Amino acid sequence: MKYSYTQINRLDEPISYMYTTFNGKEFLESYRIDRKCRIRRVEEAVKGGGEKVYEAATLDFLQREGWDSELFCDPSMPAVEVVGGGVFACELSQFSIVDSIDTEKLLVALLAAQFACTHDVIVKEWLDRLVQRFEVTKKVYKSYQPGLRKGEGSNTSVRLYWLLSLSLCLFFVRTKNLKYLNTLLKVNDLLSSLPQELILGHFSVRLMKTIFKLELAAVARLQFAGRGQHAAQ
Amino acid sequence: MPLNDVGLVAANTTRSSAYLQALVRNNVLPGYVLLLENSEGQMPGQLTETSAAAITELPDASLDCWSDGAFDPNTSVQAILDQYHVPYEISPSKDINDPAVVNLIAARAESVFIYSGFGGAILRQPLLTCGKRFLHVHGGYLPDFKGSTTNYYSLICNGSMGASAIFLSAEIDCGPILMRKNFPAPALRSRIDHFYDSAARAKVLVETLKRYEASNEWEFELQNNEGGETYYVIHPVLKHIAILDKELTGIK
Repeated sequence: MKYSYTQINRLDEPISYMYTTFNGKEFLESYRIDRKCRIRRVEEAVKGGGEKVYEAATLDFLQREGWDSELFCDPSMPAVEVVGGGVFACELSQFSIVDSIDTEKLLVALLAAQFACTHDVIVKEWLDRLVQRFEVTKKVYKSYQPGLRKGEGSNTSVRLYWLLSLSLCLFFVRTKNLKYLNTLLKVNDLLSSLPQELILGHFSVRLMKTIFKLELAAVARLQFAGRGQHAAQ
Repeated sequence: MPLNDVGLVAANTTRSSAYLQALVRNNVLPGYVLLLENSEGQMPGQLTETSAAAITELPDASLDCWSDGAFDPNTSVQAILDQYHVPYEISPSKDINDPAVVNLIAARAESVFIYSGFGGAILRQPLLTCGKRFLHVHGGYLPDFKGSTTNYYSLICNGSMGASAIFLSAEIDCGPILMRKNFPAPALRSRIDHFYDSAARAKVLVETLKRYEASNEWEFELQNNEGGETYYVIHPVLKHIAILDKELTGIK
């Protein structure tokens, strides 16, 4: 059984996910195989390239939240570098729903707040708006009009989908709220459906692998966890 | 006895069929039905299998909570309306927000309409302010589980399903709650979409209407339906986890 949700370019042909059919355990296995295949393809791609600026912060975050560092550490790769600079200088407080929103700046600010484990309520408010937009349109736009309803500009910037994917990963890890794992699965379906040359060069190979491996681990935990560990926080 | 002040907006979906069969069984028929028809392809909520076997008895049918689960999905809405002489007309459009549909509803004498249209449709202005109230049964326990396909999320989180009768408002799933119920995990989880979800909603609808019929008033279980979480159409991976739950975890 092929995992059908990544077989065609989902930027070109979005999928609604409504009334999907039940295909038994084989479907879950096809999903796992597909994601692992994508991870292998990413590993086999050009080594290096893509920004590393989030690597150290992501590792630190995962360790603080009690996730296995095996998700992140790869003995075959160089040690994680701590990249300095003002990349986390963007503050969430500078954004307002009554203004137009530059999506990349918003996502960068969201990640900064998430790494610092601050302002969870405000992070949720903004992330919920982005989740709503993506779930309705299956796209992430370069910018949004005031009210964050109507997207403007390009919706094909793969970097934005990676940034959203990372933000969803971190928020699911922190809250265990299925809502964010749900959207993460869809964003990662889209990323996995893209030609290799489109998804590379934005994040480092290590970070891309981590996002997919974390999603796989989260799904595996759900399948074998006891009751009551996944309620909305 | 028909409820003369209550109408029904229906479509040829398994949910509408389940509702009507439950209303017939419990003798709480609406006084009028507006039937949304679709002549082009499949709409959300319509069975894809053209020869789906009728489920006349579910393995857990003896449970009171699933007493409205034994319905025939192959019985069309129109056939039921004809058989039980329920006054109805065919809508000028399949779009509930079409001005012609809004005008038709606004002109009717009934003050409350049960809404059971095509899946995914959202009622907008001016329909919501046309002078009628719209009774909708959400497939989930409110306010905790708002949004779409919420019973799959609640199965993973709580091992249960829910249904909540509300009057629709501009904000999705935030209207005042007339009645809400929890339901145990069904025996055949792969049948949630077209059977158990409809059965749970039908159960709550019937009980809400019976309570209205007895008191001639719409009584609210929870007026303030704020808070909770809004969920979106469930990804098939999570849907499979919800359905396969018992097998994978070995929980009896």
